[in-house]
Amino acid sequence: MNDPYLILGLLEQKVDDSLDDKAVKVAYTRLLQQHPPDREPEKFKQIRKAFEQLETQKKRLKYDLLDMTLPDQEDLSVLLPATSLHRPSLQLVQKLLG
Amino acid sequence: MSRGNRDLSKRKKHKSRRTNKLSPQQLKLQAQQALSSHHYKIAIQHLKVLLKNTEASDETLALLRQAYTGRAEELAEAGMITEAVSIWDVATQYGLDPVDSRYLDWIVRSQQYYRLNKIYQQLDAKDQRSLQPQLAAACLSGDLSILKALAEDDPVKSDYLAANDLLQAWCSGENEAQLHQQMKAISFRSPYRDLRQIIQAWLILEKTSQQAGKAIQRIANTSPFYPLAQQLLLASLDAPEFMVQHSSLSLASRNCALDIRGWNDKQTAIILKKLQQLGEKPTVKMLSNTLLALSKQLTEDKLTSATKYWLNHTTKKVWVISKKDSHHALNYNNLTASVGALTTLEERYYQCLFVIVNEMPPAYVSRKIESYLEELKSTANNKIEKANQLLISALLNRYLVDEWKIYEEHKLTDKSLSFLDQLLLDDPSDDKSWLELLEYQLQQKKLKPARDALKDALAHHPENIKILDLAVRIAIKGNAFVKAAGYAKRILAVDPINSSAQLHLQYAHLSHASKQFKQKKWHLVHKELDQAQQWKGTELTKTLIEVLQAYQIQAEKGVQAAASAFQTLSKTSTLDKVAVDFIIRHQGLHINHAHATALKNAKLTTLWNKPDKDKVFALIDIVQQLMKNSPKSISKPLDSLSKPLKKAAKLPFSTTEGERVCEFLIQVGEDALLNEYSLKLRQKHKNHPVFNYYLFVNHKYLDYKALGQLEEAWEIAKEQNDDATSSRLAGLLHKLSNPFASPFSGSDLFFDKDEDDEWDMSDEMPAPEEMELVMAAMVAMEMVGDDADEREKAKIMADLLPIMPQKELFDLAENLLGEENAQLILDKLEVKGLRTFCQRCLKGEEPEDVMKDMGIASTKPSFLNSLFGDLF
Repeated sequence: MNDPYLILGLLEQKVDDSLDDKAVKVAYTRLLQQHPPDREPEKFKQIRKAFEQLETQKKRLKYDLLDMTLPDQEDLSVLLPATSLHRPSLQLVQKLLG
Repeated sequence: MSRGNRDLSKRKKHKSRRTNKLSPQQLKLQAQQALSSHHYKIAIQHLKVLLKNTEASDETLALLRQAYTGRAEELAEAGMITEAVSIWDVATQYGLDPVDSRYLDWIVRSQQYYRLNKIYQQLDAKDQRSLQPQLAAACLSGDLSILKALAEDDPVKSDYLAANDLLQAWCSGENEAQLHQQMKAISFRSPYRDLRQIIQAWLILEKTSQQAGKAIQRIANTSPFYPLAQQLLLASLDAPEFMVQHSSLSLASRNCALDIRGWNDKQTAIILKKLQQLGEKPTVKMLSNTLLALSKQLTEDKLTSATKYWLNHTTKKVWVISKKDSHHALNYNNLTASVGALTTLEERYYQCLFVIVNEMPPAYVSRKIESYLEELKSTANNKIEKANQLLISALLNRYLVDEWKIYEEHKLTDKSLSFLDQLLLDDPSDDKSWLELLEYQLQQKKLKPARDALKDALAHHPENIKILDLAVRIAIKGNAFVKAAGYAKRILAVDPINSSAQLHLQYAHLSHASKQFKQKKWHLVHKELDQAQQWKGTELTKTLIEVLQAYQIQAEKGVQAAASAFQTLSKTSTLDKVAVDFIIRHQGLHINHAHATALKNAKLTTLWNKPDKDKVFALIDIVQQLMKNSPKSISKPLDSLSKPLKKAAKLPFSTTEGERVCEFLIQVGEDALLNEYSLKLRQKHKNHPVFNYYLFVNHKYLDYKALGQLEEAWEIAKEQNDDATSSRLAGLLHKLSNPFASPFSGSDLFFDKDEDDEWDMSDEMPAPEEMELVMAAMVAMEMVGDDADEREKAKIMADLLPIMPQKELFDLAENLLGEENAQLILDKLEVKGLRTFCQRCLKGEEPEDVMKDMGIASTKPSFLNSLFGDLF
């Protein structure tokens, strides 16, 4: 994954214009807890790089303005709507069991 | 009977007659052959005839069961479940298992519950238990006829209500606590236990996907609840993994899985398909096409705002990059058709990115960026937008500073400085840029602007140690020692053990002491030296203080009184004798005090009688240390050593040592000594062309003979693969052989008076401003390549022309049809007319014809015109 907003899970906030330095830090800390550097060093590198790209408003603007890194397939998969699980309808379950 | 049916009947009879004629062995053999080639229907026919004609043997019955099983599976696989059930039914008379799981599965799938119930009633308790989950699932699917036939105490019937309530509660979104409560009514032996397990897993899945996956995996794939479990398993997968699994599902399962994930839409399938086609490392072209296709196919309501933003953002980014490739997949019209029309601001922004990505010359990039920033400034409405606008402006100005620095050999020039100034106006919090500016001004000895910039820098960064450190250096350079001490104290307030600040303070006091010395204010000299001693310094500063103290004694109390002081410091200083000697000379000359007596007192007068290599290098070391920390001139004390140093040029220096000495002499500006050393070293090391460089480096011009020597040295350096020397010699050659770079351009010093040799390059070389455009045009031409069609070239020129300033347009018009005519167009139609003239030429019209329309005659073409001529 190349897009730092996606890596830190901050795309929605970015679009809402509600993204600030604190939100970036919170997202970074949360991800570090989920992927401790000693256990997942590669993942950590990716998270760290994304954090360094978005740490401040100035850095975020720099990324938005001048970064020309292309998205990869994983980035593109974000085009799918975010996963929010829906309980299936009774009709659907009956169809599956029948 | 129709003709077709009659034919079919005839064929059957004919076939049957043919089968009846076969012997039992032949029938058996043919049945076996049919079985091995999966022709189950033929095998059944042969075996049934065999059974009719002979006594039923175990072997024949086994073959028949095999044929029936094969046929039933064949039908089920083809989706003919009811037919498969019927075949199995018939085969039970030949011994096929009436409770075989496959058979039961088909019964359930074909919803023939009456049959299932019938079988169930005939089974013993043990077999009934194995069939109960099938019946339970069938009951939950809505077929309640099964329940009527079951005994009241049958678990399928007794647990049904609780299970059904649980299912309904789950589907209607009942909360976790309620569901747990209802699950208690279903025991672990209940035929509905798998449902309970699935709902339990779902509740975990709502919190964390990993644990849920494990819980669901406990359900066997033979369970009638497995299809439901499988959907949940899919729902727990990450999007990319889901995409892989998704493609292998049946249509019904796929729709169900998408529904659970909330993606139940045909468009989702399109996305999945497109993304799968991309592969792991998509090219720019593939990305462009995919994004375009997706942006056209996805309707807004199916996209979250985030994905829409990202799609737009990324599509444009891909577009900018793909434009670099002449075979790009996207064009402007396609882009705007898919992601909407671009605003002026967006358009200018992408023009900026385009010139950046294509590495156009900085002059061209600057214009595009300036135009974007102008638009940005006019569109910023609220406070946040204005703040962002300033930051964006600062970022882009930073980009321009860096670009210009690369373009101008990593130096700050007037051009890059103007962007640096603008950047600091937009974003004064950028401490690195302040440092860059102050460092440059200090190096260039531009102390007045440095002091102004320092004021602003410190207003925004009052405790920045690096800026304060520069402030000290700037103050010392300007002999403002009190100010320097003040800045150093500010550093120490932030960082009390900062050794650099302590050293600065010492130098500030020392310099101030020297100043007071010249004015003979002895008490102040004393005070400053006392203060200097308070700070932790180096052995050098210690000796400097001691030397000044000794000079003070000499000035106040006479030579005799100072003799012991000089003698003591000469003995006690841990510095080299050469260093002490130089410091005495240096300080003495600086405070206008005779150093000869002092040296005599320090017993150092004979030190340079016999110069050797160690003394030379000790001198280099001390001079460099002093230069680093003290602004005082070192040329006078060095001049006092010129005789022994000249003598030392004969010493047997190795090439490395020789290079070090020469570099030092360049650094201190001792041209005469450099000439002496490099001549001697060149004679000694004939195969080392670097000494030719040192010999001529400070020359303003060279005669042909010297130029020849330099060229020869350059050739040798190239042959020796000595890139560093070769590049230095090339630079020097360029400088010395370029008449424009010299104030003596065109003079007799350069050229012989032979008329054939005289040439004026200014006729052929474009002016610097014009050069930028030439560069832009060349880059543009390179981009489209030789094979590009005229339309592509015209497009690039069309992009260049609108940004051409009046001067360039005038030059172009002038080169096309003469100055007078160009002036006429300008007078008559202003810049607009000039631009129109060039644009018409771009469209393929002859310049003369265009001019004719305007009533003006044509002239000869020029350098720029010939280049643009290629583009036209």
